[in-house]
Amino acid sequence: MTTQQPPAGQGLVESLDRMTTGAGIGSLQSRRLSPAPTLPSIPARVGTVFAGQPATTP
Amino acid sequence: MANETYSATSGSGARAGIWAPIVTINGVDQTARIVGEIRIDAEEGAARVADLTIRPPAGTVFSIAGWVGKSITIQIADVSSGSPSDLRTLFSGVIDTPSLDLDLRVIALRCSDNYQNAVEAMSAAAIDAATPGGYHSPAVFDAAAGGWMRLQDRLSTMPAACELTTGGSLRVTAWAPKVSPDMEFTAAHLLDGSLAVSLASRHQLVNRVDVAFSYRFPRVKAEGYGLSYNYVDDSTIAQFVLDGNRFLRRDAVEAAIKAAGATIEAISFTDLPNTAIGTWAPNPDADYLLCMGFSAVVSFDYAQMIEEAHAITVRAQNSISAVGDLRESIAGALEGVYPPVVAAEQSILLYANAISGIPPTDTATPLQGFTTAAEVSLTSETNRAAANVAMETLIQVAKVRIHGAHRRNLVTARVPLNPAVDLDQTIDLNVAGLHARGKCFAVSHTMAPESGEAVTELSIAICSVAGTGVTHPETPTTAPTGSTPGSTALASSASADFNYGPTEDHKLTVTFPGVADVERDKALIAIATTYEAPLTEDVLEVTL
Repeated sequence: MTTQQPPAGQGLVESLDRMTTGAGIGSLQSRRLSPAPTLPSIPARVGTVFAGQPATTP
Repeated sequence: MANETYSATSGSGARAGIWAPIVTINGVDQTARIVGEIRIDAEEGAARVADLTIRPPAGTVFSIAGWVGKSITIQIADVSSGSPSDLRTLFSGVIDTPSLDLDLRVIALRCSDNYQNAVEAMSAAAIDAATPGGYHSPAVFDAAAGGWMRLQDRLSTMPAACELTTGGSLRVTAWAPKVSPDMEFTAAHLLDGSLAVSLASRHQLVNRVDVAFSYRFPRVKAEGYGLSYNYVDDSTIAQFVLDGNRFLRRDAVEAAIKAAGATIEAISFTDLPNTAIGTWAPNPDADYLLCMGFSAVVSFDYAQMIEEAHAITVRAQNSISAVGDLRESIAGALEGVYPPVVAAEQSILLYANAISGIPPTDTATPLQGFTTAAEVSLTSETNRAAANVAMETLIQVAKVRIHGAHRRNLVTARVPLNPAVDLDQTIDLNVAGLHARGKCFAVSHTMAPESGEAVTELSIAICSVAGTGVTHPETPTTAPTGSTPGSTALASSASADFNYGPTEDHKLTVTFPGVADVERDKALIAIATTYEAPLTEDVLEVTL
């Protein structure tokens, strides 16, 4: 098994990067909406009830 | 102007400059132990960094704790009088990385002004206060980002650079040069052969940013139907009774309408006659329960998803004319936080029909013959105001990207070390064949005590593309106008049918048309807008 060593001086480079760069890198990320749920269509609405009553006399 | 020179390095009159560095580490003057060159680098938006080398006394025991994080200041002084005077601070910070050279027994010190850490320790409110004019939207940036990241987010909406002063204070400086330069250098000030110009490549430019922003939210809607129905009248009632027909019960009318899912907004009934007509004789004890017809206004409530697709073009038209289209794109999205549409609809229906005492959050006001709509109450982070802030933030990000891409031209020069040269200065360079004026982008002070050389290298950023004198008008950063709820006429009408015949089933049927797909399906509303991004045309006149 071999172990990869970082190149000589890499630590120093990273240190310098940390001090001098990072400017201008914000948290802006492109975003998009997830698909919207499809709502059911609404067909004709019908109401039916028994409604008849015979004429009455006193 | 008097600050183009520093007497310690430029001299005074016929006298040559005599200078000396003063290095203080952890409160102790260590100047005598510094060997080699001392270099201090500062650049827009970055920590100020110093490099120097120290030779500790022989036998010194090195420990990391004795060096890392210790305070360090680097000053320069005029020693022409024999003692230090006119001290100027070039660097103030902490030791970041000591590097040991065991052969030479020296320690190279890389030092930082601790910019990132200082910002990281600031609250969001403090960062916002330090960056007036900046934009921030939790829909665009990471809402949880604080410290350094929040500052970078704010700065990405501002045509400005931010760093620490040598005194450790946060300083924000606009990219645009001041009308009057702080320093004017001529050939008399510059070191021979030190002037250089580095121009940006076309491919580095950005002059058009396409911003795609989607905003989705529900709207509540209401249909207002009028329904009038009469099956008998005074002239026909006598025969109606003789034929054995049935009369319509008022409670059945309301029940039928509710059975159709409607809410009764208003209803009136046609009374039976109160005097005898032919064989018809009124019965006051029962007739008030019946009717010869009715006229009702009823409503249906539902909701619809609206999706605004904003195509926002931010561009610098005069740059496009000069070098062609160079595009970037960014995308954003925001979804209104609201209960699920179906739950909202049920809430309205249950309350309207007195099944629930909990009022719905939002309802549209019905209008007979129309479908009306109303906005809903979204959370403050997802409502229209939040969407507008998000779009304004993205527009501003686009403007700043365009501006930033156009100021990558650098003019560099070297002068005898001048502590007054700093990143907040507007510098004018005027020598034979070149005249440039811009904000200082980078500065390096180098002191070599062994050679006596003390030099400041400065770079000024020049924003230029279409030529000096060309103006780039700006469209103010105001969010595009979004859609608004409207009303549309109903395409069909309602109907009623009462089977009153003696052999029929005596049922009343009310029928309301279905909801048109366009009223119910997700509405995609495309809104296209264009904004002009501002640029400055800094002075850059070169004659070869």
